[in-house]
Parts: sequence; C-alpha cells; structure tokens
Amino acid sequence: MRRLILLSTFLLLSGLPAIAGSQQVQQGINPRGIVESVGLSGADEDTFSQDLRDALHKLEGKPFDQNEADGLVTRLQAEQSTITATVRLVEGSDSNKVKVLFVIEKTDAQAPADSNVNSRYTVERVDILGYDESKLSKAIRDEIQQLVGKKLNQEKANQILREINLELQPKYAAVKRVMKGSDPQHIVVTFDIHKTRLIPFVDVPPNQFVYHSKQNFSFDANVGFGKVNRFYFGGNDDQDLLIERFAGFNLGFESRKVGTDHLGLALRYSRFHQRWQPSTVLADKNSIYRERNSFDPGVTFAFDPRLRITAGVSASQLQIQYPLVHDADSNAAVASVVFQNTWSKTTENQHFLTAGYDFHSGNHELGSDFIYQRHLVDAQYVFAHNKDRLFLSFQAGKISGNAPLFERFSLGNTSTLMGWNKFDITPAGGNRMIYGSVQYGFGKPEIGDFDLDFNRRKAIGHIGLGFHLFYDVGAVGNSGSPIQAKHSAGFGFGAPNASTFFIELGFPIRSNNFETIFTTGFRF
Amino acid sequence: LKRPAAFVTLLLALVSVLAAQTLTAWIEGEQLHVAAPRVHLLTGEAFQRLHDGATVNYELQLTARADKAGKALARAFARFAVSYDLWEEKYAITRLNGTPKSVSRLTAAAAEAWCVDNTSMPIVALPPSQPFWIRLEYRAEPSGIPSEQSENSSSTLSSLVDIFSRRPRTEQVHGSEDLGPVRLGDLRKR
Repeated sequence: MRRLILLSTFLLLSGLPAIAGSQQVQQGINPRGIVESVGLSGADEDTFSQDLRDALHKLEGKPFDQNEADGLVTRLQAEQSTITATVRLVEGSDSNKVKVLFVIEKTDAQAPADSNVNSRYTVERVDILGYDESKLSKAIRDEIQQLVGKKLNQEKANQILREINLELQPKYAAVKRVMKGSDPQHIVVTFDIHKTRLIPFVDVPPNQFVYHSKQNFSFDANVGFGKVNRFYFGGNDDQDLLIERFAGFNLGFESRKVGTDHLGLALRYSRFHQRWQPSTVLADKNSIYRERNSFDPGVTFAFDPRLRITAGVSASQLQIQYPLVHDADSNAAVASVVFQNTWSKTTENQHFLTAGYDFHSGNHELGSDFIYQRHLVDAQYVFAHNKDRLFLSFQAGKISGNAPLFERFSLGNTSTLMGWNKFDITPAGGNRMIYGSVQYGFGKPEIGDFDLDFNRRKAIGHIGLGFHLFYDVGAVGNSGSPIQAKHSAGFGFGAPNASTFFIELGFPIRSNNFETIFTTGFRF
Repeated sequence: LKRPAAFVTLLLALVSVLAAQTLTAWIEGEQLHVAAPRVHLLTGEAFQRLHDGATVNYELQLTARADKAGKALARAFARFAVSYDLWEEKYAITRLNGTPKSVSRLTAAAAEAWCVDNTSMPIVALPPSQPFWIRLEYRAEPSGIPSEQSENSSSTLSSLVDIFSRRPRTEQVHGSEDLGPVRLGDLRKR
C-alpha cells in the first residue's frame, strides 16, 4: 500500500512539469496522451527543412513529451528567424490521444524597443517595501502612479529605481522586482528598500599593483572572508605608499557590527621587512629600521553612512639599524574622522565629497620611544556628468616631535605629484606637507559591443580606454628648511581617477632636468 | 547481482554525463553551429534577476583558432536580451545584434540552446582543410543599475564614484568551452 502511495505521488509529481510547462493545454486533454497527429498552422510545412518535418512527425505514436516539443519549437524558430512557434494540444479521437499543433506566428523582423517579455502585462500596483512611501518625493510618487494601469515599461521602472536610489542614498538602497499580479494579465512592481551598511571594510594598505618608472613595482593584496565579520590576510611588497619599501604580510579581523550597525571593530597585525633607497639612508641614517611589526586595534563609530569616527592604538616595534642594531617602540594613540557624501539632483549630474582628519600621537604613556604628534587632513571632490569626471584633491599634514619614517610625509608617487620622484624631493620624508590636484577625465576602460562582419571584413563595436588630464602642485619638507612648491602635469588612460586600471605620463614643471615619469597599474 | 547492476548504472550515468559535457559542432548551410549542453546561462545572479522580471543581456562569442591558444582565425559575436515570462514561466529571447530575431515560450534548456545555436560562424572564414579549435565564450552582462554598495569594498571616494560607474562585483555567469582539433570536412552537415 505504501509503495502504491509512493508510486502515485511520483507519477503525480512527474506529470506536473508537463502540465505546468504546456500553457496551451485545454481542459479535458490528456497532456501525456499518445500523439495521434502533428500539424502546423500559420505556415506551410514545406517551408521547413525535410529533417525538421521528419522530426515533427516522429512525435506521432508516442506519448506527448513537452521537452521534445520545446526542442522542435526551438528548431522551427531557428530555421525561420521571423516566426514565433508555440505548441498546442488538441483533443484526439479518444481520451488517451492528443493532436499536436505547432502554431506559427510571424514576428516583426526588427528587434522590439523593449525586449522584456513582461512588458505585455499591465501593472496592477506598485509596492514600496521597507520604507514609508509618503516620505518619497512627490515627483517619484507621481512617476510610480503613472506606472499603474499601463503596460510595464521596464526602462521607466528602472529610471524610477535610479531616482529612488539617488534620493535615499546613502542611508538606503533599493532594488526592483516584478512579480505576478492577481490574474494572468497583471504584474506587480516592487521597490524593495533597505538600509545600507554604515561601516565599510577598509583594506590597509589599499589593494593595488602599480609600477612607477623611478620606484619600480609595488603590490598590496588582501583577501577577506565574511560579509559582516571578516578575517583577512594579505601580502605586500610596496615602495609606493611610504618612503620605505616594506615587504611582508598582514592579517586581521574586522567587524562592521558590534551589537549595533553603528559600532565596528578592527584588529590588524602586520610584519614587514624594510629596504631603503641610498638617498634615504644618506639623508637620515639613524632613523633606518630593518623590521617593523605592528598591531593596530581600533573601534569605529558611525553616526550614519556619511560620518564616522575611529579611535585606537597603533603599536609598532622597530628594529633600528644604526648606529647599533636595537629595538624601539613607536606606540601612538590614533583617531580619525571621515565624512563622505553624494549629492545629485539628476542621474546625469552627481557631486561626491570625501573629507577626513587623521591624528596620531606617540607618547610616553603608551611606552613609545618616538614622541610626536601627526595631523593629516585630506579632501576630494568629484563632479560627475555622464561619463565626464572632474576631480579636485587636497592634502595637508604637519608633524611635531620625532616621528618614525613610516609616519613622515612624501609626495611624488603613483597618486601624488605624478611627474616627480619622491626620493628626489624629500628622500627621508618631511614633517610639513601640502598638496593639491585637479584632474579631468572622460570614459573608462571598457569593451563595448563588438562584432565582426565577415562579409565586409570589418569590425563593428568599440573598445574604450578612458582618458584624463591632470595638474598637481605640492610642497613637502621639514620645518626650518626651505620648502619649495613642485608642479607637474600629465595625461593618462584608464579610469578617470586611476581608481582601477591606469597608464599615466607625468611631466615635472621645472626649468632643468626635465624627465617624464611613467606610471601604470591596477587598483582593486 | 545488485552491486554490479548498481555499478553499471552508475557507470552509464557517468558516461552519459561526460558525453553530454562535450561541445559539438556541425555545418548548416554556410554556417558553423555548435551545441553546448554543458553551458548553463540561466544560473546564479542572472537567474535571480530574470525571475525578478528583469532583462538580462548575454554575450556569446565563437572563436576559431589554428591552435588551442593560438591566433584567432575567425570570430563571431552575438548578444541576446533574455527575459522570463512571470506568468507563463518560460523564457523569451531577442537577438540584439546582426539580424534581429525573437523567440518566446522557451524552457530554460531550450533558451540556452537557442542562444548557443544562434551564435554561428560563416564557414567561409574557416580553413577548408587545416584542423582548428573552436571556443565558445559566454557571459551575462551586469545589470548596470546602481542599487547596492559593494559589501566588501572600502568606502573610499573611488568606491563612491564606482557605485555609479563600475560594474557591480556580484556573481556573474561566464565561462568557455573548447572543441578541437576539428576539420571542416569532418563536421556533420545538416
């Protein structure tokens, strides 16, 4: 009996897909019946190949197979690009038999403007989930209402989605879904709105693989696992970020939610071996160290996605090389505040701003051998108009006291003063720095639609690389010494702000020793 | 007796799976076509987007090379807009480049097969007697609609800009299948 029930269940379940799959089955027709005959309506059978006609008639005498019929639909449509074929089952001469009819309909040879098949359904209603609809702007609410009662306009619905995202960012993000309505002629559009994460994961150092014609290759790569809490590890061999080349590894743990979305935690450890340029050794021999091991615990509090503060400790142990090899501790209290926001009235024009202040204090209370205070402010503004980007960047820093070399400022790498080599400006870094840059870019690296027209032997499509121009000015040095502003200009290809792939040529603006700097790389 | 029978069944199943995983090619008229039962376009994040009523564009490319990693002798590209009929629970496809073509009411397997079959290459571009390799590459285009901030990215200015300019880092359908070496004369004609 049990077997019988199982068998019945199996048969019932195995029959279901065929029933569900065939939308053209009329009531009273056995969808698993023996195929009595196969016919075509709407087109002459002779217009199809003999192979296909034979295949159609091979259905006869066997139980109807939906998958086999679907395969024949595909072949019919493949042979004649301007038709749409569908399968219909018609009652046979008795209840166990069916007739199969392939209905051929001519279609427009031109691709439809809206290629989404659901555009033929009428929008029953639009639901806003996760957010009070009345708080959306009237313009958006009006646009939403305009969708209702009309055929689904995917482009319009996507446009509304973009507008919702622009209006609610950065606190919320929306996704669009289309679902079945209350009857087979209607669909429901939903905009599912949810809160965005307040605290991001931060890769320290940032992930990059870059080349500078005077500073050689540098790479920093971290791999992390987890979405709210993540463990990460990475390798580094970098001379781009600091005036030392540091090579080694780093690992750590980050949490973006400690009890609340507003609180985050980071525990970072790194172990690096240092190599130095001869000019750096010559400039400040007694500050050179061979090893640097650091542990940086910190907590972050985010007021909202735009504003967050971080506080913690940076404890580093240095193996000083001269005059005798010995260990020294550089322990500092660290704090930072970061603001970032996006303003935009339309999807074409957007304004981005990020600004930060970073403070480090090496002091006796933390057992530091380096007593210093380091202040750094930085800001970047971007105006984006379609594919065009205008970037304005600013940095200023000041160090008082005796800071280790990894804390000192430098300009002249793959992201600042791009026509200069930092080791020619301040080989041992400086305790005063100011820098500004203006950059304009359009396009980005992309490969668009591409086709080869074999008949005409030509390529169709486009490959975009992006192009940008920049002008930098900056000054770095030590207080009490003369500090001279340096200028550079140049151009490059790739991402407009070198945030991903870039190739750049920088030209120092000076009266003698004119030498270009070539940089390339990838940031990820 | 049960064990050998089970072993044979398993072996047959394995053989049928392996047999189904090969790229096959044939000539129809003046075009070289391929079939790739192993290629599944309607999966992952693209599948979810389709079932959420969105259109997903797919790019397929067929390349013929003298060697597996050699210079391309010929290349054909096709781009398709795929959508999923929420009520009929079937797929509809429009070919976006070349000769416009549309089909609808296809099952997932039939839709995948239609895309592959409609990425064909003219045989005039292929060497008549030399062996060559065929590669089918495919990928689903990202949605292009900025909606969510990347879960794992640092919230730098770059990432802010990238929300609006870069393709999202979500699971994307992509891959390739190879066949070769084959000769034009050895291929089955339909």
